[in-house]
Amino acid sequence: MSNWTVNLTKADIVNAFLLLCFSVSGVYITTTWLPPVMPGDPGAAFFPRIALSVIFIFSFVLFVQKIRTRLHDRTTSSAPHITIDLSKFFWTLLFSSLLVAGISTIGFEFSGFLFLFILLWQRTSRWVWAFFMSLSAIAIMYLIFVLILKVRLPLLFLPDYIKFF
Amino acid sequence: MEDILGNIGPALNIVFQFETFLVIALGVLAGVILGILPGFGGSQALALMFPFTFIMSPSAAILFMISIYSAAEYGGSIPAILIRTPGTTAAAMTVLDGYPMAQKGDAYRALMISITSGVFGGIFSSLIFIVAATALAWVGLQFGPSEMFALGLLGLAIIGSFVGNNPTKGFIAAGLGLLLSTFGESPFGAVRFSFDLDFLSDGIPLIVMIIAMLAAPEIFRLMGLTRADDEASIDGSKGMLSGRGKGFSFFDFRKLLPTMLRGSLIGTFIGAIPGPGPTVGTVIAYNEEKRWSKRADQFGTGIDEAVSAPESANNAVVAGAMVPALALGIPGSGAIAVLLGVLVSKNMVPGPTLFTENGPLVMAVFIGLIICNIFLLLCGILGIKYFAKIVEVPGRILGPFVMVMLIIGAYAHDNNVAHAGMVIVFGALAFWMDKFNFSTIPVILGFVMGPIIEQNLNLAMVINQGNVISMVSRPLTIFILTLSVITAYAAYRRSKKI
Repeated sequence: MSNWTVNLTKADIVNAFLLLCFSVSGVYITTTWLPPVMPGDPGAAFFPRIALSVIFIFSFVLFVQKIRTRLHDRTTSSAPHITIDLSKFFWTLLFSSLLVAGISTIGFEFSGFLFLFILLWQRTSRWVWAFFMSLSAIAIMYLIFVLILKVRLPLLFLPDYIKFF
Repeated sequence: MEDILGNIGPALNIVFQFETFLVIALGVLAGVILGILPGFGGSQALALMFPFTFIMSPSAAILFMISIYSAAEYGGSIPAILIRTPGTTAAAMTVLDGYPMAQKGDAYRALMISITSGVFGGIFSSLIFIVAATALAWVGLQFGPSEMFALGLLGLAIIGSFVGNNPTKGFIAAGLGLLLSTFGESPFGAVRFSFDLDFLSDGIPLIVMIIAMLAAPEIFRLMGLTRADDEASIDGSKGMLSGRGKGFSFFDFRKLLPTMLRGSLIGTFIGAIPGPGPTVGTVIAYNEEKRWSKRADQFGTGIDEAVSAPESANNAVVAGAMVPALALGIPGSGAIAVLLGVLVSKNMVPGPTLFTENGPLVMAVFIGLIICNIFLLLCGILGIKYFAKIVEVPGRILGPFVMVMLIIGAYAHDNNVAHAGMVIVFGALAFWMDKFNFSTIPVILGFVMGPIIEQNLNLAMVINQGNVISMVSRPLTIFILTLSVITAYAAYRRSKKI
C-alpha cells in the first residue's frame, strides 16, 4: 500500500552524491573557525577535517563504483531492489516525535499515557486492557524515574517528590 | 609481597562483617536494576547512590559503591541481549552477538554467558590486582598522549570487521561517527557544528548515540509489527523458555575459559590506563577475540565467544580502573571520579600514601570486589529466568513500551529533552542506514574512539611541536600502531572472505 521499492544502486548513487556535498559543506564550515595559536597545535578544525576527508574519499569511491555498476546493470537488468514500508516508518517517527514534544509541553505522565494508550489500543483492539496497561506502565515509570531516581521529568499534575514521613 | 600478605588478614576482618555483606548485596541489587535502565551507566548510578554513603563506614561506603559500579556494568548487558538496547555504553558490543542469540531462542544461554564471563572477569582482575597492583600502576603511567592516540587507532582498527560485503560504506559510516564525536564545545578552542543551537553546543552524548544507532532501528521494526508478524515469530522466541533453547553447562564454561582469560586480561589492562574506560575495553576485547577465533566469520551472528569476551573485559575494567585511582589518585572515568569522591568524603586521600596508610582498606576493596562478583553471580542466575520472560511479550506490544523507555533514558542522562529528540533524529538516520546497507556499528566505534584519538593526537602534536615523526617514534607507540595496522588488514581480509 505504501511500500516504496527502490533500486539499491540508484539509491547508493544518490546517497554518495549527498555525502559528497555534505563533506564539502562540512569542510567549508570548518574554515570559519579560528586558527590555532599555540605552536604545534593543529587546532579545532584539524580532526573534523580528517573525518570529513574520510567521508569524502569513500563517498567518491562509492559514487564511482555504483555508476559503473549501474552501467553494467543496464545491460544485464540484474539490479538489486529494496522495499521499505514508508507509512510504518513515518507513523513511528510522528508518534515518537509527538511523545518528545508532549513531554516538554503537556508533561511526561499525560503524553506518555496517551502514546501508550493509543498505540496499544490500535495494536490489540482492547481499549480497557490498553487503558490499564498504559496507566500502570506510566505509574511504574513515574515511581522509578521521578520518585526514586529523581529524574526531573516535566510533569503536568503529579508531584515531583512525595514526602512519606 | 610481604606487605600484601600482611594486609590480607586485616582486610579479611573488614570484609567478613555482616554490615559489609549487607551493603555489597544491596549495592549489587541497586547496580543491576540501574544498569538495566537505559541512560543510567556506572557513573550515573554511582552519583545517584552517593548520598547513601554518608551514613556508612569508609570501608562499607567504598564497597557499596564498587558493588554498584560492577553490577551496573553487568546490568547493562541484560537489555542489550533481550531487546537490543544496551543499558550502559559498554554493553554496546554485547548487542552484536547477544541479541542474535536471543533471536535464535538462546536468550538464556546468552544471559548465562554474560553473567559467568562478567563474574570471571571481575574476580580475575581483582586477583591480578592483589598480586600486582604496583606494577600495573606503573604500566598505566607509561601511556602518554602518543600511546593513547595509538590505542584509539587500535580500537578503530576493528572497523574492518564490520563493513560486511561493502567496505566503502563501512568506512563512510566510521567517518560519520568520527565527525559526530567532534560536535559541540571543543577543548581546542571552538564550538563546533553547533549551528547556534544551544543543545548542540554540549555535543552529542555517547548514550544517545548508542541508543539511537543500535536500539532505534530495532524499535522502528517492533513498532511496525502486526499481529500476523508476532504470531509467526512467537513460537521461536518461546523456545528457550520451554527448554528447547540451548542451556549453559560446565563444559561450555570450560570451553569459553580461554576467551574469558583473554577478555579479562584486556579489561584489566585497559582499566589500568587512565581514560579509555569499559567501552573501549569491550571494543578491543571483541576485536582481539575475533582475531584469535577460528570462527571469526561467524562473529555478529550470535556466537558464544563474541558475548563472553566483551563481558569479561567489561567487568575486569572495574578492578583495573581502581589501580591508577587508588595508587596514583588518577580517576580514569566519571564513575571512578565518584568513587574517589567517596574516599575523599571519608577523609582518605587517594594516591601512593593510601597504600601505606590504609593498606588493609585497599586490600579489602579487592577482596570485596570478589565477594561482590559472587553476589552478582547469584543475583544473575536467580534473575535470568525473570529477565528472559521479556522475550515472551509480542513485539508489537513491546515496541511502544521500549520506545517510551528509550526516550526517558535519553532524557534522564542529563534531564534534557533535546537528547530525547536526538534519539529520534539519529534513530531515523540509523533506520535508513540499515535499509541502505550501511552498518551502524562503525558509527558507534568512530564515535567512541574519536575523542580519544583527537584529544591525544592534538596533545601529542603540541608536546612534539607538530613533529609527527617524533610523536610516533616512541617504542610503545610503534608497537601499538603496528598492531593496529595488522588488526585492520586482517579484519579487512576476513570481511572480504565473508
